Amino acid sequence: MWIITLLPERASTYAVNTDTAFWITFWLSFVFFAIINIALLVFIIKYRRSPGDEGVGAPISHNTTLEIVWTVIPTILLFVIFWFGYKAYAKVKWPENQPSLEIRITARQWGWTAEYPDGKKIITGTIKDDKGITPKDFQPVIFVPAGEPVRLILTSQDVIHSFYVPEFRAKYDAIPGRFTKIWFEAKKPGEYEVFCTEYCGAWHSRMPAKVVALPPKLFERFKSIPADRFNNTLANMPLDSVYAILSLSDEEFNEWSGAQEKLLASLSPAERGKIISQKLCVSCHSFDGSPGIGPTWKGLFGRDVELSDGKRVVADENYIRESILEPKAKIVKGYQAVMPSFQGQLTEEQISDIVEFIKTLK
Amino acid sequence: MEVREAVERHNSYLDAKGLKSWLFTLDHKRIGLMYMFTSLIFLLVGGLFAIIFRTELLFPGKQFLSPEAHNILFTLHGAILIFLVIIPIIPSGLGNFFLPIMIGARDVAFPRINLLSYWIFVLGALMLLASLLFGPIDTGWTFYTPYSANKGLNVFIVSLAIFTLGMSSILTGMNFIVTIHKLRAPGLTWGKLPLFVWALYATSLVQLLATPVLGITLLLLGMENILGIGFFNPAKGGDPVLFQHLFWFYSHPAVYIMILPAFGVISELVSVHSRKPIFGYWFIAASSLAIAFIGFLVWGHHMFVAGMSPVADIIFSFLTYFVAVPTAVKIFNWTATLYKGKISFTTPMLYALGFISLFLIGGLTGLFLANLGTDIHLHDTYFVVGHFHYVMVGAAVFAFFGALFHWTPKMFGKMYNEKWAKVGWLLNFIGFNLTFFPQFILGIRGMPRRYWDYPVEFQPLHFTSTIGSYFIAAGILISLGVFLFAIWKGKKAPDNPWGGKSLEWTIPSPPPTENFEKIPVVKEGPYDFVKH
Repeated sequence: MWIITLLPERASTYAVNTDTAFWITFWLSFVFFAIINIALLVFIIKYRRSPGDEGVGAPISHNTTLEIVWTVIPTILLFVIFWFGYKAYAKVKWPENQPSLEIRITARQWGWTAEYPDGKKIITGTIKDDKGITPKDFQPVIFVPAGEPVRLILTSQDVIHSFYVPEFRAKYDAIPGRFTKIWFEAKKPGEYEVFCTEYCGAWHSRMPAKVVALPPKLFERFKSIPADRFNNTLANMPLDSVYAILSLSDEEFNEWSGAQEKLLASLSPAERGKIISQKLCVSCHSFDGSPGIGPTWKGLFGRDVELSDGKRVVADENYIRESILEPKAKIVKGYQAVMPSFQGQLTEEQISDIVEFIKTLK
Repeated sequence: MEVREAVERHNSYLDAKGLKSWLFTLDHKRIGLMYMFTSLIFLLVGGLFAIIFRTELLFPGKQFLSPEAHNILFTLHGAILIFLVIIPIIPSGLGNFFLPIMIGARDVAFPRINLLSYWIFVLGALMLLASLLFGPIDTGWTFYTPYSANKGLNVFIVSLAIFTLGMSSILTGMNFIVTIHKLRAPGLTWGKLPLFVWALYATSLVQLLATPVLGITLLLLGMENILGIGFFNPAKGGDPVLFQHLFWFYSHPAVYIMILPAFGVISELVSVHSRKPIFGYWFIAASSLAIAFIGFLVWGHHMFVAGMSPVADIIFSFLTYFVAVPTAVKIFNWTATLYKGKISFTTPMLYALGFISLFLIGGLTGLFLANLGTDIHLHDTYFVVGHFHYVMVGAAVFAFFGALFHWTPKMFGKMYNEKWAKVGWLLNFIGFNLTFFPQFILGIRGMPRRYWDYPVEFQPLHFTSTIGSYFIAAGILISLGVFLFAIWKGKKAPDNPWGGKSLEWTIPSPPPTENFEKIPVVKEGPYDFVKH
């Protein structure tokens, strides 16, 4: 099927404009391609030199009328292509209805963080394995209402990344130190893959995510969940469970919420710390002793650590807390000062949960 | 013709023996050959890197390369093939050899600067290799900041290396401009210049005007890495997008440094091998200059999703379409040249025909990327990879091989094996399309570039692309084998095997050291084919 449509599904309202620009450019190009290649074929067959023919070609050296014709006609057609491109661009750039929902996306090496105005936060991680990317590796990063415009405010905390949703025909760079923005409106509920399209280092190909467009009813339910409950539950769940929970009846949903609160209260700090660490930390710090961009956490707590300036320090609670909030203060010997600060991103409680988790990695 | 008779038993520029006679030569022909052979060695190295990472991409998931190794390989593949092969190989290699001969001169205007420029080029190439000792770079050949901004010594050395290569490029461009202005033989008016010379002239202007900006940009990047000055790193108050502006201000014109000499070659090949005057001489000559000029005004089309203002996006898109016009004019003129010609299917002509077809695809797919709407979807996908390989390999490398076989009889006085050269061409043509056509479809389907791994749905197209790259490898090895065998054991070539009219065909093969015993007086144009 896609061999005929060539382009991916048109899942956003403006995809049709982009595709119109695409097909107009395609068919005009195709006509030119055909004309030239047919002319080439005809000429090389008709005017091929037979063996032993030492003659020369006809002394035709120019034809000004012809030159003007084949300068002017392509120029006009190029204006046509430009115009359709501009029209598609205008749709992508300037929404007709201002989006009422704005989501902030922060890219990092290597994953995405989405933050909603009410504080809901979803973090996707790096898929580090030797297998190819499978559909389940595309982790939900934003939930949006189908049929309503949404604006994304993009930035990055390290290098340039690019947020690309092929099925929306939407793409924009996430640049450190500035905000860029895109908007889209998903035509119908569904899941749409997100790729990073600006080369950002080793695991550039392994930060897959997806935009989940929810039916209006489910999105209302999504909106109604308080941010901290969402962040501790749905934000860390597989998408199937999220759908199931959002689709519960009011009664069942309230029951689930209450149960979650109890369950959460029963988790140990180290268990809570593990959930956060698997999202945020494991792409650089392994839990099992394997090498990474940062030092492994296995056996870290209480160890004597040698720093790049030759000093030594014991990895206690304060050292770990400082390393999370001010990573550049102490650099472990043999490692680069590349870790971003998590100041303002983690609460004090979450930091001590992470410390508790590290303590369990003997 | 007079010249041929004047030289009784001609000496040859190849007569002098010994390594020193090559390394310190001031002869433009020898310098040209040294450039060409240096670039050919790097062509094999850069090509090998591509074969390795394409093999990794045969199947999804990790095969045998870590993501770090893959990223280093694609970076070196791009940097080596662009800066050490495609930019110098036609102008500094073949151009150095033939430009003075085609204008009836004994050498370039500044032979010592010519040699200096070669050795600066070698120095730059060695620096690029030396950077590997400090940890190979993995920044991509585009060095986008801030990814490249705090890497340290290796990026610093690479930026100095490219700066050095740029110096060499500036010197060659300056040398060629002066040579063309000052050393044309009597009677060789601008209207009688071979179109290859016009193309080299336009190329040299771009080299002279654009390369200093690259030099400045890379010095800033080097200083950022070594001294920690925050030009481009936002963490130090710099602007990463400024780097992209500065980089593309050079690197877009650099695309024309790579393709304009190829245009010049095709004008020669199409005319000579169909024994017919080139159609629309002045339109082709003027279009080279137009492309060189407009090429300076379009760099922003690399940045439609990088945070420029919409006004800038729209203006850059609009201006980009103006490059398409002179390019289209050239294609029409080459095609029209074949009309009522006497076309012979020599290897150079096959490369020229292949060029027209492949460059057409390369050019037309550029329209999708200049297009504000479709570029948002296609930017930084495999569509872009396909597009620029059609231009840089399908066009520039095909033109180089066409020119190589066209001029091998002249350069060495030996004929190559026509049958095996055609086998090489066929493998290159099939392999090229097999490698890069699927990449357009990958890009349209949404496959981002510079990916170590990909979702499984893209596997058939990636697999096809990799198989194609093996065909190209075979094609290039066979073609170079045919070329080297011709030098070694080829049959003696006549002075003018193709019946060409430009001045290089009036002197013996291989050319005498002085090119012309007596500076010729030019009366006819380079494409005035007449019945014998």
